[in-house]
Amino acid sequence: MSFFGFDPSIPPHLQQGSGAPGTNESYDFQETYDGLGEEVDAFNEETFGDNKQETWNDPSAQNHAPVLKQNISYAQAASSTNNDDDFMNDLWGTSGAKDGAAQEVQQQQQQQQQQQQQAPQEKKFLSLEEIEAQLTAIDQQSQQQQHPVHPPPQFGYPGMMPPQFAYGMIPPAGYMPAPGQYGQFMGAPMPMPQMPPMGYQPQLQQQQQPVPQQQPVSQQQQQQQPPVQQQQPLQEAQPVVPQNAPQNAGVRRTSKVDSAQFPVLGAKGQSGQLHQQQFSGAQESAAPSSSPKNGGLPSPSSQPSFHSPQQRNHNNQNFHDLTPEQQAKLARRQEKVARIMKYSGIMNPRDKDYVTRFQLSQIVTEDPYNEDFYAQVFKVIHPKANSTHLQEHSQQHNSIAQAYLEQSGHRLGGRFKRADVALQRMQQQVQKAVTVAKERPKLTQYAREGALGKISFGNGKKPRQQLEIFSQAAQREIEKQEQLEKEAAVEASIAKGESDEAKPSDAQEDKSEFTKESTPVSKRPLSISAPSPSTSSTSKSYSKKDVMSILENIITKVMNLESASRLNPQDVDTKELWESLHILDQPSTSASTISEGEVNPFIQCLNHNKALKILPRLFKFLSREQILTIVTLIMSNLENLYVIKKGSYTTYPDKIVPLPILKLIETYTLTFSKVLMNSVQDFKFNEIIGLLVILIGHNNVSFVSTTKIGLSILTTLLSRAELIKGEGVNISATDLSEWSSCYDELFTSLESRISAIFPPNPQDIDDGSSRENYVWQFLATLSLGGKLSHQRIIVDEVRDEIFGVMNRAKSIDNSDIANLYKKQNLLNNLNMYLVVMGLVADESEIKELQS
Amino acid sequence: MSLQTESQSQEPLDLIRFQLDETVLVKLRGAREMKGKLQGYDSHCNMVISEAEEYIYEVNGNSEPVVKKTEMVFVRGDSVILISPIN
Repeated sequence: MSFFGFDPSIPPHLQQGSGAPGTNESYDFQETYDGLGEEVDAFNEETFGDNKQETWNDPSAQNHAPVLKQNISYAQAASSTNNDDDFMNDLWGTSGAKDGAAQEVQQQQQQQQQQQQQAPQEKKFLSLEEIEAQLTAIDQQSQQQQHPVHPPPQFGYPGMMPPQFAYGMIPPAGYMPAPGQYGQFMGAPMPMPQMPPMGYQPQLQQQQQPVPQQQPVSQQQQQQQPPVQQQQPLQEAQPVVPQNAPQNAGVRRTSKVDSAQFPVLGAKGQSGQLHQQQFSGAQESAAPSSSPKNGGLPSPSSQPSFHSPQQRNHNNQNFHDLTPEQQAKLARRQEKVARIMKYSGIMNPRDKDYVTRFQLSQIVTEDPYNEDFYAQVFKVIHPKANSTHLQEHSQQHNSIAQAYLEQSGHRLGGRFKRADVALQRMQQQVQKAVTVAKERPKLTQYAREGALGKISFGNGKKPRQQLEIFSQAAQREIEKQEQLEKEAAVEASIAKGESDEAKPSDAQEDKSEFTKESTPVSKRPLSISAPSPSTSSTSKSYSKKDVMSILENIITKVMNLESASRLNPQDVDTKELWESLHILDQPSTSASTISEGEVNPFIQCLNHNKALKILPRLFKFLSREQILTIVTLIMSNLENLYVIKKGSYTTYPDKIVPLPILKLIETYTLTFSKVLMNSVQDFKFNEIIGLLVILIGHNNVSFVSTTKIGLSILTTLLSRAELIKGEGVNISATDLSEWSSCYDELFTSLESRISAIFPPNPQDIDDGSSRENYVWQFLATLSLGGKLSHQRIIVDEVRDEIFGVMNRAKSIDNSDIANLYKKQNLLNNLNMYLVVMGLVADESEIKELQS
Repeated sequence: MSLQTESQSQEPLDLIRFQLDETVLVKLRGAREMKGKLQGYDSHCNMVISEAEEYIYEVNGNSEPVVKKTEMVFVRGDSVILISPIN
């Protein structure tokens, strides 16, 4: 049996008569290979752009001219004077472009035709046999010319590649070609006259002239042999140019002559020729037969193979005619072509579809902001100039397809620049992938779910687990959750049934809840018991793991909210987030009685960098009341914060705060202080007083004031209060009296310890390089709020520091340009405080401010 | 008393998740350890660690380990033996 429709069991010589009318066809490269290639791989081209064509571009361009010349008989080629030069030029591109060469060839052909028309009359000395031979050749040629126009093999056989094979299913074994079969394909004689190897022509030319009947080596040679042989008598008789004409021109004439009678074709013992006939037979039947016979098999048989042993052999021979460099170059090129071609045609279009969709399914996501966050951000940062919001949906697919094409190395366009087709094709693929991704069963849709644990589904980001088994605790948790939900649902339905007129929306309920929660603070700012420890008897201790878990949960919730708000900015439910904060869980204070683990978990979270980093994003989602509640909690817990507890130089024997804490302080100034400053803008006067009172009541103010963060918190609150007071709007007399008593309380707790707020090594915290100095800022604010008596006390206490700064400023030499700015900064920072009292200092003296 | 606050977080890898942005000690095959801030990880325990210090111990020698510092490093999960928080 045969895959190609020819029977190898029949002796080759018997086949030739019936089997191969195409023995002496001469192929035009463009007609032959290109045509076949497109038939075979039409879908490939559509899917991936014209990459195949492009791959071929290189060798084909080089071969173009020589191939065309094959249309002229070899004899002509051989006798033409400039043929060799031309060939070399064409091959190596040293001179005339291939267009020029082609034109030349065309001219030659025309010439030939004219000559041929005259030939019968002029050349009477042609024997009848010879003429017959010519005509036979013509006939066969004309038959052959129809040959490349096969109906394209169909690839969409029903059942060959059912669509449901996509996504993780292995196609049935029958679908893939068995290795043996495939080997057979590869080993089998294949039609490969379409693409003569390079350097083929010169060999022929050189061989033909001295030994025209030499046994052909390559298939191509064999195929071209008959015409050559036909020409042989002519060549002898008339060894000048016109002799070649009949062959080529004859191609277009017709006369029915049995090819078997043709002497050369019929000649026995020319095994090469016989062989060639087989090839032709095979070729004839290969392409058409592939559809019915091979069924679902990909048919590599119809793909040209370019590294047959014969060809190599041939090329080797050819090497001798070239210079070593040319040989090397040729070898490289052939090696390249062989490498490219080695696996060409292994996959059929369906395979490619399958792989493409498989790859695309990894890219496609319904939730780009979570699964593909950085790409989305990148898109925002680098918006494409042509992107419009109108076609956003299609744009998305488009961009995926585009990205895929770019990333997977399929160059768009190719010779025919059919980028749009490829892109369209890819968009279809993407759409398919999206559809299938959506159809994938969701976790809850599975019948067996629960019987053997959870049945899991993989996705691109997370490979599939065979079985997901919950820990019992988690299982119980889930059950409890479900129970609660059910109850809630029942209650809700009851409530709905009872009171239809009420209908309080969830959001409203939430709000009222929050206001209720925060009213104790806002309404009674002076009562120090905002978070009262008495209310909860259950004093829990949080392990580090618990805190981390809470913190991670907060971060997750924030990110979820962020992604939700991107989709629907109006309707964001922050209830879960608020609950995850555990603000009201553990109303601890900075009392020394509680252990570290019993501190409110949110406060514990604030000891971690990541909590601080998320703060600005977190606060965005919180209402004013919620923020006020959080700030109140923090004020009452200041000393539980690492940054305060460990941030004071006084706790260290060498009076130096260690590096990790310094880093933490730095982070606080960058995050927490800013967030607090923003929040405080929204607070009312009495709320700020309340916060200060809580701070004073729950913390050791003189200790807090020795820390940078503590001091800056105080500064923030005080300065805001001063600002509101300065505006003088909506401030009742009671507020004012509360404020002054609050200030007195604060001052009392600081009095006689004010100089301690300066770290022992002032140059550590302010060598003048910074434009800000939190200590002077604080003193300025404190003085601003105080009466003259307060200011006098402050000046008395910090007099040494004032002079210290002045001395340091003085010590920086005026000629030291590089450090001059430090001097200025030092004085500016100092003056920020002094100006409050109407003073100004330079490096040597303090004067009254001249306004 | 420990507290199971989150119903959803019951994966072993959560222990790593909790250490995100924290300093961790990663013990690696080939007598190596890596200390640094955990920037990211995945289900294969591939990790990105910043401010990393790699300690390469000599297998039999008692000499001090070689220390290499890297600003940011990717640790492939297949060489990870354990991950532990440092504090």
